[in-house]
Amino acid sequence: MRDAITSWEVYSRSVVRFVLAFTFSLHGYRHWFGLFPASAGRRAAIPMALDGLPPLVGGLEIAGGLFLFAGLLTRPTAIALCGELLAAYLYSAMPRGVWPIRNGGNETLVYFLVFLYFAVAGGGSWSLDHLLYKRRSPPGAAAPA
Amino acid sequence: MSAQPRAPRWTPYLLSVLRIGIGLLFFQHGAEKLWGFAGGRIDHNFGTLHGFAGPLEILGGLLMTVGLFTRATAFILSGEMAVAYFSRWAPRGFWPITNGGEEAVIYCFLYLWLVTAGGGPWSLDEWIWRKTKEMGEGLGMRREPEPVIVKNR
Repeated sequence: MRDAITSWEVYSRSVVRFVLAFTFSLHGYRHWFGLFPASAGRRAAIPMALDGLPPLVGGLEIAGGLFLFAGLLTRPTAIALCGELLAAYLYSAMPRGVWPIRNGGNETLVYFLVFLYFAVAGGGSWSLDHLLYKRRSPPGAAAPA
Repeated sequence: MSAQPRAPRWTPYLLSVLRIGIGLLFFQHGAEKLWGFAGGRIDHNFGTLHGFAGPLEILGGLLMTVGLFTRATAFILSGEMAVAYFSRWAPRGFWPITNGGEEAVIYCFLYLWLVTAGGGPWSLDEWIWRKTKEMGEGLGMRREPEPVIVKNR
């Protein structure tokens, strides 16, 4: 049973990738176009570390989010976004305090960890990377996910 | 060079690192609700959803950090995060970025993934798995080797 569940990992990793790429790209639209202004939703009023970066990085977030959603060039994209997230944490969360729950760096750290894993493991089975790989490799060859 | 190179052999260890990081970050939320960690709002009304989430997050964060019962824990926490999102954050707006539920969404799907991925090699699950396997072998409970089908003999 353990092995049966584990065999789904390549698909569920893709699902995580879809969701995280989408929520992440929303920060890009906020940065560049000023969409999604902070509302009453965050009553604690600790701005997320990502939003503390200059608006210029919005492009990186939109493009990175789209690439990551499609699963195209997942690894280089994930590395680039990891760099941005690390910068966001060091630049806007760290000075506010030690604990991520208070300095607004919580989401940033979670994104960072997961994107780091994507950068190493790839985007899973439901990705353009995997599709291209399958098309290019000879039939019958075991396709890594 | 292929579009999808094989993942390096140490990838499972990175999974364990991720799991430990997630567990510690998640633990903060429980510690906040139970003990007022980092100046947070204490909520001891264990009958309410928000109060009940405190002990759940403490226990879940701990189990996740040490990697014990990773899959079952992840399944429960994924459900908890779904409830948290729809009961607490979704009424405040449609987009996760504005209603404050972004973290809940991330955790929900992350834990769903960890249900399938397991805790990786640096986890108590894996340690117990190895120990019990050794013990079983010591007690003579070794499995019969798979029958070898010889082809083209």
